[in-house]
Amino acid sequence: MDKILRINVSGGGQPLFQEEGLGDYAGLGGRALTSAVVNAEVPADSHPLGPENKLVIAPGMLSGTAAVNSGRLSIGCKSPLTGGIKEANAGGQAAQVLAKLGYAALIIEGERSSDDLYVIRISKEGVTAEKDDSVRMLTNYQLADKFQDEYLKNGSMISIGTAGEMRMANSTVAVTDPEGRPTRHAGRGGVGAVMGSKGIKVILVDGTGTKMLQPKDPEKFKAANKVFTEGLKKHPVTGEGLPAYGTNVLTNVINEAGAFPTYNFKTGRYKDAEKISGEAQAELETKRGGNPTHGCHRGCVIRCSGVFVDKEGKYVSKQPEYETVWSHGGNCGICDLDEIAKLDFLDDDYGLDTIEMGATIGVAMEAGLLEFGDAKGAVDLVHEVGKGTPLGRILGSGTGATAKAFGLERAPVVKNQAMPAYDPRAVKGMGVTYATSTMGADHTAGYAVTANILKVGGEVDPLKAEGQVDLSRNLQIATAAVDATGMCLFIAFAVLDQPETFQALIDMINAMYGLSLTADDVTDLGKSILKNERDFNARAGLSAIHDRLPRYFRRESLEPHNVTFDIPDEQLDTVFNW
Amino acid sequence: MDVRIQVEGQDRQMFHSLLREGVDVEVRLGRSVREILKDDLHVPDQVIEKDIQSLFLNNHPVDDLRIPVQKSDSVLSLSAAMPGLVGASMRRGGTYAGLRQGISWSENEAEQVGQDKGCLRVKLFNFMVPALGPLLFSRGVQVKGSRLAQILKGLTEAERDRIVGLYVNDTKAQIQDPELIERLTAEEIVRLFVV
Repeated sequence: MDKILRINVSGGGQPLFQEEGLGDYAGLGGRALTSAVVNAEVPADSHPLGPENKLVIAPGMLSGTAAVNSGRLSIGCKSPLTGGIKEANAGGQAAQVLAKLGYAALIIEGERSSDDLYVIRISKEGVTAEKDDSVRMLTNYQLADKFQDEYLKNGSMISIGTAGEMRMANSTVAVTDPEGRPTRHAGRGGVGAVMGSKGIKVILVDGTGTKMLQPKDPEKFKAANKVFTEGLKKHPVTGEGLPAYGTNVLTNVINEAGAFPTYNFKTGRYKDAEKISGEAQAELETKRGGNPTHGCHRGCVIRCSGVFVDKEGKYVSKQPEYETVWSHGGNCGICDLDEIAKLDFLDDDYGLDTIEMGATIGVAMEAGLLEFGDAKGAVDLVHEVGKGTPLGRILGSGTGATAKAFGLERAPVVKNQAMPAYDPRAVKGMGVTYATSTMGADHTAGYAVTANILKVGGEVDPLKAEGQVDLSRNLQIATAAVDATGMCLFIAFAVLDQPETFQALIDMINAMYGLSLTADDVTDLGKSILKNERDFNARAGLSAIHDRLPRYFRRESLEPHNVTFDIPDEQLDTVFNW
Repeated sequence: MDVRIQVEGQDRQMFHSLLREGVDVEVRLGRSVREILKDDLHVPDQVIEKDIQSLFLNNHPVDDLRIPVQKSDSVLSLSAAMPGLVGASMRRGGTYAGLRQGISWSENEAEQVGQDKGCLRVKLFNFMVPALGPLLFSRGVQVKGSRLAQILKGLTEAERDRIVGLYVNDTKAQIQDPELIERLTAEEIVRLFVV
């Protein structure tokens, strides 16, 4: 990966292409690269849908290599949802293909001069753009039907659904999985709208004739990859729990802890949680002939995704993730896995973030637009969004905008981005991350549970309340670093318990690039990413008062534990003191 | 009422949802979680130490297995290691336990012993179901009759075929007998064995 492809849509006609070396961005990948480009090249005061914003699409540092689980694709820009910097990442096939084609990043920039839509094709033979009106208002699955003969065998499709085309603040960029389905999404923050604002509907990447990227030290790389793979396979979470049940295995546990936000964050327990749990989901899928164990890209050894089928055994959607089951399920009082899978499909098809969409529907339910538990009504609302009706335009603007439109205070958002599936009053440490993350409320911002190994910021007493700010800081640093590698964050569970697995990850990077990084260097990488993002956000007008949870989380207690979020503001303001 | 169900090849999956929802077992109160797991539920030491990574007592994550279960109708939930940061934070005594400080079990949750024996509702999640389900089912658990009736009514033909014997108070019964479903529905509590 030694080049960047700039796709400039300002030409007045077709987008113009320019390839260049990495320059100042050398040595960066994934989130490190997207955030560096956005911070350096996008004016912080620009409108997210204006010509000055850029969409940066970057594979991770280990993408395209033989490293397992290295298929994450980072997508960065100024967010239409938060107004701050955004990096959202997705699994699927595209990161591997782009990396094998030699691209460290695609940067889509400039100002389109018409409403024309373009399909970009990138292969070993070169890059082309085709004006294609036939793709207008096609959904992601319709695009997959139209183009899969081109990409299924050796490539991938990166696309926006109708939500991105309509430049909604809740809109994703979809990436196809090994079966060619558009099931993997860079979901958060409205990255699809930025792609839509540039008039790019589809990017087809074709890896025909490319080879796996070769490490500088093949023997060391092979040995490290072996240790890393064994580490993932032997760990009870990555080797057993996730493959068997997927991420939705969390529903029963989080609900039991009283941390499962229910009825628009009114209570922490959902009476019908068991009906939508990962265990029930896996049993149902197995009974119907679906598949609860499936990789979202080739080379994944965790295989936490799955295939959800209907009573006749026909494909409905990918296996809904925990966050989706929560957002469309417990948060909206819907306890039917078939309905939740249908909503998951519609989100993927129209190109909507399932967390934002479910939280938005929860707010709409609280507003009285429909009853909690009304699955058919929820499906209808997602169609309204996907088709762009006036009501759909409001809902597609996100949870915060919907609450504002209906005159509600209770919008569970930070920096206007909806909170995920863990109530911050019950899990206050997560609340610290929601509040202070550069991305808005984001459970993955402080997710890489490697901090005990990195020991950034010193040792933390696990049972001490004051440790939560320190934990959040360490986790956010570690996560930023993992996001730069292209590795799936789920590797973190094995790394948490197995220092040799973490060392193997560093060894792979070193062997790939001929480096001699240490754990401290990884920490420094994480810090530098956060520094770029904090710098951009500060210039974009996001300050300490945006690093807060909505006030009602301090005021309204959460059952069953009757707890409020009580981490003092002064402590929140120290998260980035290192 | 005692209901004994014999399944083919020990395939108890059709009854797993009962374990996740919670089944009642009689225990001696005032004793520690560890003692109850070991002595009343007969959970092997290795499973207690290695496999049960997260425990909840009345919805509070538990870090110390020495805490006592003092009140009848308490709920004890058991889980294997969970993904996600919050999943990791729920592990007993784990590095990230501080993240859920405020809901963890503390001394304040303790209540005085009012009686020697009582009911403990046990919930098994994820890998705890195959690990401990057979143990609980073979020793007998208490469930609501109406819930058992609902499960029996909802079985598919293939699932019914895997039930090779059904006995109510030691008398053979037919699974599709409407009278059986009616009788079960009327029972507040049923002692269920699945072997």
